[in-house]
Amino acid sequence: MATLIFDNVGFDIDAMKQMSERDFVNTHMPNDAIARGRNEQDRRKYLKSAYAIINPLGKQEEEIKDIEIKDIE
Amino acid sequence: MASILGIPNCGGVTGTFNSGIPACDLIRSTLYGLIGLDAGVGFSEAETASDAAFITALRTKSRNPRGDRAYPMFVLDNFADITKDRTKATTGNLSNTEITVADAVPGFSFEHRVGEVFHKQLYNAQNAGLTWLLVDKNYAVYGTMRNNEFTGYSTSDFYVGAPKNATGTELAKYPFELIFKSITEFKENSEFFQSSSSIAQISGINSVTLMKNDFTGNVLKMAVIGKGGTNVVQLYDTELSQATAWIVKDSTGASVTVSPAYDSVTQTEALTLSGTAFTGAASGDVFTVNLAASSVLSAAPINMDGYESGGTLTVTKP
Repeated sequence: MATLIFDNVGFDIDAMKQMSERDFVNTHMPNDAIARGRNEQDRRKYLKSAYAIINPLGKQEEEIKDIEIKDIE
Repeated sequence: MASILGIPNCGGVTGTFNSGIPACDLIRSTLYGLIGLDAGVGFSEAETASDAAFITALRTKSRNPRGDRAYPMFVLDNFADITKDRTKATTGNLSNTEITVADAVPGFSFEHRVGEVFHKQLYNAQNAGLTWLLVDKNYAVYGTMRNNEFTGYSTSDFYVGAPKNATGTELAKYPFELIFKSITEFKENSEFFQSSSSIAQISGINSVTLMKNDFTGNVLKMAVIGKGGTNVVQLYDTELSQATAWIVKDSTGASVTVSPAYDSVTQTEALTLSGTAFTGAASGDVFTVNLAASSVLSAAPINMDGYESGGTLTVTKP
């Protein structure tokens, strides 16, 4: 299981890329430790940007390896 | 080849003794450290092929699961040899010559000054069935050979004494004793391995306790308390924010997906729980939470070396 650390939050990449963007955002919004101190709109924006990083990993196999080695492993 | 069946060893051709002085030899120094080994744990020929191989193997074994683990301790503050004299007896009533009838099995007393919490941990070693390697000031490691592996001496007694308070003239003392079991292990089958100062850099594992701070909706906030009461989450916030650091399961053993985030306000890890094992569960259903195994925590990408969960925590879905 590869983890994406995004601003001190660890996302299980394999599990997260199975979610839609809406499910991903709605699942993580209740966690007030994520993007603490920002308003709801900014927190949603933050989570969408996290999802945007995770989602291409599931679609482009070649890029997964590069990102896992450089940024995750 | 002629058989030596029926021929005792009286020297001469059956003897093995020689008196040449080795070009290189080792003199034992003061004891500096101890390495406990779970029963059956030893170092193979390949693992003692070089100091680097030995250090790597020891580091790996120190993070292995219980039952297959090494417990290095480089905390000794005082050391004394408490080996008794050997027992001798006279040969008869026509002479007063005494010969040895029983060897004294070696024993050592030690003191450390780590403190109360560490001393309490030592009590757990009393009945753990460990064997012990000795490490001296020159980083020579002493043990015995068993099943072609270099392993620790077996013990008849690992006794942890009651701590002694400081007085007006003396410091507090935390004593313990190690009495070995087999003289053969310590004499004929004894072996040593010349290591280096790197061996002292290998630490033991700290046990931590998981505590629930809050569980609301799908967010479970966890504190991780080390021995001595320190919340290690604030020390390892990034490491514990790796999804692989946490294991959450439902009552059937199905894994829950975890997204951990460091909560700087409560100094906890806030775990977002998802996946069908969690979303499909009803309020009141029970889940277990634990950290990954010590070997997983130690390795990349978590790199939280030297910690182990003291056990799973059971929580109820709100």
